[in-house]
Amino acid sequence: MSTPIAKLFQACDPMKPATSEQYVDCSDVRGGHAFTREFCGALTNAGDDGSFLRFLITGHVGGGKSSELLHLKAQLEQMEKPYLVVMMDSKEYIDDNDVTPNDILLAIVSELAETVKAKAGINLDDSYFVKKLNEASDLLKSTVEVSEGDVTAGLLKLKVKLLRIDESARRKVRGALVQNESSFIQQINLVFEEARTAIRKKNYRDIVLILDNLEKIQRIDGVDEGTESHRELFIARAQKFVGLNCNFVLTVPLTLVNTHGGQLRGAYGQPPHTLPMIKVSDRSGKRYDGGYVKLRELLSKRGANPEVIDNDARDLLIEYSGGHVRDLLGTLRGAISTASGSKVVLADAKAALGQIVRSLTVSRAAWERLVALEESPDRTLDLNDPVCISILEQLYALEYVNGEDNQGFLQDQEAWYAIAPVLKELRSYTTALSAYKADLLKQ
Amino acid sequence: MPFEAFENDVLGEEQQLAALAQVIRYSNSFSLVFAVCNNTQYREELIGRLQSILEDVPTQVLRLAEKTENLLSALREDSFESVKALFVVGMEGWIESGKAGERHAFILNLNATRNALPTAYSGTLVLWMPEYLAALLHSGAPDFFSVRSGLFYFAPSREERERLSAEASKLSWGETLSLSRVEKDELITRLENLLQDILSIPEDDRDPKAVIRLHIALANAYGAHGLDADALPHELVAVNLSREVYGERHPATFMSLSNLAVTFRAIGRTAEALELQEEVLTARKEVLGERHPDTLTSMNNLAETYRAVGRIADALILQEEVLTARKEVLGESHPDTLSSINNLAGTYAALGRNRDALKLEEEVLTARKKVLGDRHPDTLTSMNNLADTYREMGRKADALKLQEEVLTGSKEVRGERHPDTLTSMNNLAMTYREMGRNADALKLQIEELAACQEVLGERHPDTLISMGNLASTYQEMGRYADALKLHEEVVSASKEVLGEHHPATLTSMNNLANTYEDLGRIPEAIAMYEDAVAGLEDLLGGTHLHTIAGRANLARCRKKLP
Repeated sequence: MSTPIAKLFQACDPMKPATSEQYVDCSDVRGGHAFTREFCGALTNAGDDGSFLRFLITGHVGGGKSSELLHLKAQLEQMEKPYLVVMMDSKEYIDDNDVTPNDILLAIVSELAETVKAKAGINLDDSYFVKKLNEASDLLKSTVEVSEGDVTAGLLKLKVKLLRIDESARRKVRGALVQNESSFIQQINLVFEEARTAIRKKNYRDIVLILDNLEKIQRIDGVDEGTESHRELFIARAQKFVGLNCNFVLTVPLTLVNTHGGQLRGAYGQPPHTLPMIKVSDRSGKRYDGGYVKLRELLSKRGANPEVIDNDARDLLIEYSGGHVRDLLGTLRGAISTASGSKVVLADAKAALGQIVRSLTVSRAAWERLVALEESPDRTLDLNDPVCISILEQLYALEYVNGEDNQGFLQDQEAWYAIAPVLKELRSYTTALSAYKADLLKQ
Repeated sequence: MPFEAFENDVLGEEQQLAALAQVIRYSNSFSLVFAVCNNTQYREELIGRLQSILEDVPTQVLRLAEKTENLLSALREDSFESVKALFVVGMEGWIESGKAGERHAFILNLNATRNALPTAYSGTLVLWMPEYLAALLHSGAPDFFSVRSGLFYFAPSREERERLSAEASKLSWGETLSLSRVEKDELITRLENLLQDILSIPEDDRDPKAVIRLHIALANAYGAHGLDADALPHELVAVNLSREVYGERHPATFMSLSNLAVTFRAIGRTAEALELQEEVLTARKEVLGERHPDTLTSMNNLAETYRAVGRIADALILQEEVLTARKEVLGESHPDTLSSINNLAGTYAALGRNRDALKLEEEVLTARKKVLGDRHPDTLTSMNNLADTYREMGRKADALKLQEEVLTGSKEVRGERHPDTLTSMNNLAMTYREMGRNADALKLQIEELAACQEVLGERHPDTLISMGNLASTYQEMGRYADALKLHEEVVSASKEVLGEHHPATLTSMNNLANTYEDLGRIPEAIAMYEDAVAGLEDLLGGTHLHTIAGRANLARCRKKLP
């Protein structure tokens, strides 16, 4: 079915990051740092003095991190003297509930070998460590069919990926490879060095490593899941990343940044970059037109033109997304499926929002924080409060940053928060609000 | 842009189904849809209708095994290559309602494997789940929840909800006991359906008090039907909800706890009943006062349990206290006062004070006939008790007449297999036997035991009593081998279920000794009599009729030694 409305539905897949045709640079209306610009700028300025850029990026689930990282990759590859970008999606390699930091390093090496071969035609198989990794991965032979002469870097990637689903092999490979922690990183750096020398001959400037979805990791082997594991991986074991002789960007959980931002800054040498929501209203709650303009552009690149969706329907969806892109796409899919004709009208948008309103249940504790947030003039949350952390994780509250004023100065880098707009239409919101006000009166 | 809240814009059932079908038609790669529906029956119906809307689209239903921990592996077990939409049901088997499941393996796995799902299946995955599971998913797997392409909620309409709430609020259960069997069956069906419907309402819109009321009404209906094991789960839910809604020390919570204890006792979990009743009594005294009708009910219930565990003296003290108070607080002819008199009479009888028992029982029966009518279950109970006492006193003809009347009435009012009807059969059989009508007794007892085993269970205290009685009849008829086998079974089960010092256990030991004696196995008989007499002296005292009879048996048997 490829009517325009079906095409729009298909182009709004909430599971996929934006393609380069779909990408819209929203940094101006997100506030905060223009992440891609800053990274590219810093990279160009860094020169060849042997120091490396180590960027951390964070933001809400579905807020556009993967799209930004894909965009960054495209930018780096399109430069006159391009970078070789090694992009590792940790989801491909890693069981989020059982990871050691060394698993991540293994995945990095195999992704590096794969990318260098695919992009520059360079085979790293003879590199000492890749050879060893290949040997260790042969432990997995029982689970992969290996045809003769097929021992290539591509197969290595396949094998290391299998570690994600094969727990016993994972333990074996860990044991076979990692006897000495510090020499482990040295070995990997040798591979990087070898790769760097080889690609420079092919007109690449350097390597940039992008590690996506690392923030999804829930449990590090031997540590409590959640924040404890995040602390272990990104702070206590930061040396695993910082020790790599390579420029990199990696994704960290928003909650860790909110609670341990200072420590992250200390470990990586610079503060994490937050990718805030696209503002559709400002800190005082007033409608912010800049965000609408960008989100309309974003939707239109996916096929949301007046032929298939009325403007009022589109703007209503934008308003209620709170600037959360994945949510906007999902709700638009809902509105499309409701539309009886070939066009989404206001009633369809309302119905899609109504579906969400009647399906959400919010705990009493969460309501207390959300109502207090809505009523507070400065729009801040107590990030030491586990309930506040969980309302951020559940996207009940969204994080924003003001960013530049019209003179081009970064006037306000402080984060502020707002309740997800759709929650305000729940009947329980009204109840919670009056309870909150009654409490205030009592005090 | 001012506009109404979306409440008026939500889709009706037809529109939701059409929209869900549309998602499936439009999708050209893996997509995820959540369909929330609390009522499993309704859910099946919806899936059927969806399949007919989607006539030409290949769809399939995937029913998950109960303890599935990983959706991804479940998908990999089969090939769904040509299936455009897969309806997944049975997710509620993974995590039960009310459990803190946020960190459950299945939720964590969903979050962790969501990117891998498209490698296992490439169509639209529709996950059907009850509301509590959707909420858990949202809080425990926000990442998974956020990638949905559709969210549907199938629930009763607003008019329907109002009708259901009104119906639940009109429930009263005082009259359940006097309903006929057929009426009780109908009531249970109606209440179960009503409960299902009410639970289909989103939790936020559901009146928790109506839900509690329904569970209590259901438990009562099952209890009145003699199906106490079926009542238990409802009592438990009512207790948990009451604690949550009313608080720990609220009269309504006490009521739920008290009901639960009575059910515990009815299914033979007497230790739990006892502990709970003592707890509730203390709390009611503190919160409601010493002479509040509910406090008196608590004392009365506790006394009944004391008697059931053989603590007759404790029962007596409590019952006399309750009776005095009830007469003052409720009046002489209040049904609860009459119950009190009846219960006290039962304890007198257990103590061998048959004259005292008789006087009270006649008094109650007269009053109940007047207040409740001839056929009321409580009236039948009174007749039954009085007959027991007649029999104890040797007035067999009077007992027989009354018992036959009770049995007929009970079958009619309570049903053939109601525990109280079974008790009536047992009692009548005993009288037959005592009058020498062994064949009549045997026939009745075999029938009754089979029913007890089925209705109450193999090791229920009443079942054991029935077995013992049947064994005694065998013995009376000279069928010693049959008698011995049954008596031995009863003694060993009673010791386990009721304990060594329970009156019923001691009676069964006495009976077994008697069989040994008849078989000429004198040393075994003496040993058993000795144990039984020691227990009886301990429990009932040296002057109780049963103790005296036991001693006489022992003496007689000793004389048989060479």
